[in-house]
Amino acid sequence: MNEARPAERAQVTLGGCCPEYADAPKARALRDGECAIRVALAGQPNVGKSTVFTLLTGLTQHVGNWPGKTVERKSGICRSEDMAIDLVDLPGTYSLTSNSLEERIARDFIIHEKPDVVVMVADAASLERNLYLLAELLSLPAPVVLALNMLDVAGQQGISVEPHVLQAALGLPVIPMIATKNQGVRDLVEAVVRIHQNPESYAPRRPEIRENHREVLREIQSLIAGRVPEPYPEDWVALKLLEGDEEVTRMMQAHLDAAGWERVHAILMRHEDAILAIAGGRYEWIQRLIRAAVTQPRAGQITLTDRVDRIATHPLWGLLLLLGVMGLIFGLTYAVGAPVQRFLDTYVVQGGANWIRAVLAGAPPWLVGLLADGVIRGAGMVLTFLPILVIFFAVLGALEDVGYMARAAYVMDRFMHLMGLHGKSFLPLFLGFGCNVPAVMGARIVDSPKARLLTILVSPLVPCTARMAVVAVLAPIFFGAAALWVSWGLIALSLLILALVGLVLHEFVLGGEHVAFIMELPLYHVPNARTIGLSVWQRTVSFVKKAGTIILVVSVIIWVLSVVPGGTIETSVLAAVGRFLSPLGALLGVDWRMMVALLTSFVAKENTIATLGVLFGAGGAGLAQTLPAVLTPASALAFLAVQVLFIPCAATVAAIRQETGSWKWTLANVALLLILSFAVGIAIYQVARLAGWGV
Amino acid sequence: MVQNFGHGPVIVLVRDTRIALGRGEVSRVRVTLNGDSHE
Repeated sequence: MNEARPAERAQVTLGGCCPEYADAPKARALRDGECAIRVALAGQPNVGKSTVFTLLTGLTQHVGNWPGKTVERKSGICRSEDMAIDLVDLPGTYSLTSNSLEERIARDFIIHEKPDVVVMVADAASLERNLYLLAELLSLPAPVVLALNMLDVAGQQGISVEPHVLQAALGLPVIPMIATKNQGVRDLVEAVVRIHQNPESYAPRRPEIRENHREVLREIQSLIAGRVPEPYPEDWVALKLLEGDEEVTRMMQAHLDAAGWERVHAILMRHEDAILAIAGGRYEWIQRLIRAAVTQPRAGQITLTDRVDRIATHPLWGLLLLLGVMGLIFGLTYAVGAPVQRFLDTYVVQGGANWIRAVLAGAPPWLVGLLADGVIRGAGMVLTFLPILVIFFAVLGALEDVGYMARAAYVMDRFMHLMGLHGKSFLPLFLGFGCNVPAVMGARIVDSPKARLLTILVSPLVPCTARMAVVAVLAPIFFGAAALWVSWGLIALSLLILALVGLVLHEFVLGGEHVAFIMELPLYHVPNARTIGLSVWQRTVSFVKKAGTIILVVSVIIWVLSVVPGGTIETSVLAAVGRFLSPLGALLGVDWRMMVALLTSFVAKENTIATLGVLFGAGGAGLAQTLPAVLTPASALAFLAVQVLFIPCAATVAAIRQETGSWKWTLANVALLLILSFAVGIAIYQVARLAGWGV
Repeated sequence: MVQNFGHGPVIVLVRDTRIALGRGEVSRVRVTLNGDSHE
């Protein structure tokens, strides 16, 4: 048995090659003469699978979706001298029964794509539960290597695992690992190559169904023999029929003749309790392994997780801790990120726009305007928010990796359920404070389709950094020292409306279905900087891509509409639309220019400031002098409320369309926010006007 | 049962794993002792 060695490199030097793959490489981007082993990385959630995947593939990762599904698919290549391991990260699943989309994807990949090797990453601190997935994997044909990860966390819990004993008992390679410290990765790669090159050495000891149902299993096997469609293994199908797996049952009903299915069905009906015999057999197998290889902590021993959870999951202290954590995240994000954002805005965006104007002094004005105002000040301004997003995502990623975010979801579950959401919905919604796009995408973690849809629909009501940036610029102009209270009030208003909208949609549109809350609380552990860094990198790249595509295109379109015809914004199509909407603006106490600013915020929320700067002939600082002359505090407050609740930016709308897969829900969401934002804004202004406040 | 404050979700320990369960789900769970294992 190889022991874990510290400070190993993921890129290993391996000897030999696999001739059968020389002509048919499975991996993408293989070099000439390079061989590929296709490896599937399986494992339950929270076992450090992403860390192992990141260590092996680094920046070669390709992130997309499983075909036709909104489940993330990651693949990448771990390269050696003359061999590449084409690694596919399967969704985290607790079992391989077709209860969830993730479970179906994982098992379909192993059955249909036939990976050369399956690496199952297991959490050594929760081995009993993790081995259940292994028991299921062993009933499939692909050879399995067990990556026994998080041995350090197990040690902290007082659990001791002997990998060589486990390996002997299982009859398959067991690699001890501490992925967060980069230990065991080299051994894992070597084990994968070894088992691929010497398949005869693979002789696992599989779990068996309990004695009282073995004859029934044999009966089913004989009835379906030769009738199971390729590439499904017959023994596995027989087992799944006894387990009552719906997908396999439907498949066999379609492939057997009526009389054959009748006989199989009659046996299944007589033995509905067979699932207990199968699960029982697996757990007896697991118990034997655990007794042989694991030493449990002394009874009554209080672990680190126990101590921290006494506070983190307490109904009161947990909530206060969460509020403190959120405060810290926002404090850190804005204290560090906001000055950098201002610097980039002043010296990169505005400086870049001025530089373009100077360099293209003799060029046609439309070209200068397009580049300076349409491209640089449109899409460029959005990019200045990257520092804020990077800090926010990094802190959030660290909390997620430590295991705290699951506790946050637990503490918030009661409140989330009030509006038909799941405790897990808190995680993507919290991401929305950074940017609504990852919030919408992050709703994938919610299992219930209705709760996921609801999470997506209310996500745009979380005030993102860009919306708050507009508030941060405009509120001090009108409210002076009270600007901070106005800002907090607008956040509270937004969240209150989020709760009300969630409640109404849940009760009256989505049928008031109860959302089950079942969630694992992982053990606390030291976060891995590389995993967090890569996650931040992927989210940032995704944001930059959107800024470089959707936002750039919409920026240019809005710029064209703002100068055509006549060459100035005052005579433009946009101004005409703004003037057309001025009766609506009058109800808010604002003129057509403010309406135009709202319209341009569809590109990116922060465009509001840039547009006001152009329309009032003043830069960001100049607005402090010009705006108070045309807006009263009441109308400014109404305008800010509309701005915070207004339709989301183009990138968020695109994300909603992608994640819901429906234009109906996307457009309904936009219409709802449009109506809601103006209704609230008008109500604020009219109440203030009637009461004589700030008018 | 690891934590139960009488309202809101509870935390249970099932086969060395902490699981948070909503109260609605808890009311539908039946627990039986099974030999030497801690089910």
